[in-house]
Amino acid sequence: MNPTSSRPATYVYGVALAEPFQTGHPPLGVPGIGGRGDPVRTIVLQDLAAVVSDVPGLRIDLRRENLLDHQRVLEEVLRRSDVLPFSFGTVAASDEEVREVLLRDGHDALREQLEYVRGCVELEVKVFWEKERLFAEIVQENDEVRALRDTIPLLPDDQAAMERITLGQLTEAEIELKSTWEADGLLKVLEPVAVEGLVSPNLSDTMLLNAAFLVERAREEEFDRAVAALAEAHAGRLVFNYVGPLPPYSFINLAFEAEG
Amino acid sequence: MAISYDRAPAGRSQQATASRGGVQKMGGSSGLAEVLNVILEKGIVIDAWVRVSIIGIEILTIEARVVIASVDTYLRYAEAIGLTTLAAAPRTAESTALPGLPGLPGLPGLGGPSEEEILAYLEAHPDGVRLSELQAYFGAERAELQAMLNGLVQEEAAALDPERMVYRPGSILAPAIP
Repeated sequence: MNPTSSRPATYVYGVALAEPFQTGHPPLGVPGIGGRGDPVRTIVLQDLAAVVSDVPGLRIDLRRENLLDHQRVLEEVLRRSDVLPFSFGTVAASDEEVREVLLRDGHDALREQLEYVRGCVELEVKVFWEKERLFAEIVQENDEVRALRDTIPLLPDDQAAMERITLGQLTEAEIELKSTWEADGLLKVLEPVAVEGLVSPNLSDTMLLNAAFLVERAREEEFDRAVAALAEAHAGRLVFNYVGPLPPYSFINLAFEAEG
Repeated sequence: MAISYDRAPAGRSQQATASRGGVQKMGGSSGLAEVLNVILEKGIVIDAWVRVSIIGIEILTIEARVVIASVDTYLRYAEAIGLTTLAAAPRTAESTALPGLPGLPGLPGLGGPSEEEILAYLEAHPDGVRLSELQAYFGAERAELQAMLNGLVQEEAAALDPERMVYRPGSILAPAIP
């Protein structure tokens, strides 16, 4: 272990209002990151609390266990309170730094951000094409694609090779069109149930929607039902990945300046 | 309500496992792979405090696919289109009236491939196809496929190369079957 990184430090999970964690409320029963059983605790300044735990040094390995620990702590906090999550791997040199640089200097910005997401959670929706169905639909819907498909097998090799490239280009364009159309339709259904949506770039060529939604806790079940209804309506055609509730990672708009 | 678009370049990519309708809502821990991009790229970031160390032996298995707009991609798409059934007909007024369904006649049925589908596959792979390859692609019973292929060979719609034990479309000259 690198000696310069082995001073004990403070891992930061997120920031919440202090009240739900103060005396009278039970401690968070989930262990801190690192597998040493460090208790998750809060550093309080005025009305804000940073949710933290001790870590042995200034480095956090990008490993599955650590990611899970980070996520589980925030899930536990989210059950009890609104919380602004930190990106994975945030370590302050000390509790003092957290109190001064994060909570004191950032107080107003943090309060404002907490107010914005008050009573809300984040829900992730990723939607994929069922491949075979996608290509079958393209062949159905596009005469040029279908014609090329039928004639290519009859062509001499060199000509066929050229035509295949054309076919591929046409298909790619169709996938793009269909995906946009389809995604718009899905968003129209989900929009009205959410406070805000953030659409991110698709991560693969069969993904057609990659979206995060800020949803009021009181409407989470309604959102669940909306997603389930869409999945049902498109069974065999689209695959839905639905994850949540998460703290509102995607809806945070904060810029911090801090010394290392 | 507001929809906004994140123009940041895409990070990792993921492949979903197919499921037959319905959706299972996963929590953030069980659905960790799906929220990895959010946990790593979003949330509050204090640059000077980010201490992620990629000593990097164990990371979640993520199927990374880099989509390159290249000839390679186009040929993949052409192959996929080539494998759609020849029996698919253009959409008609009747088919679009089917309630609740996109109305797609001629899709590969759930009960195994048709002769047209097998021939289409053979034609898309003129170098020859093994029975096991057909089995894997169509997910059909070996005996059933064998029987269909025998029928096609008899009709001379398909041909068997006995040396390499591969099937070809019958329109391509093949060694005579002993």
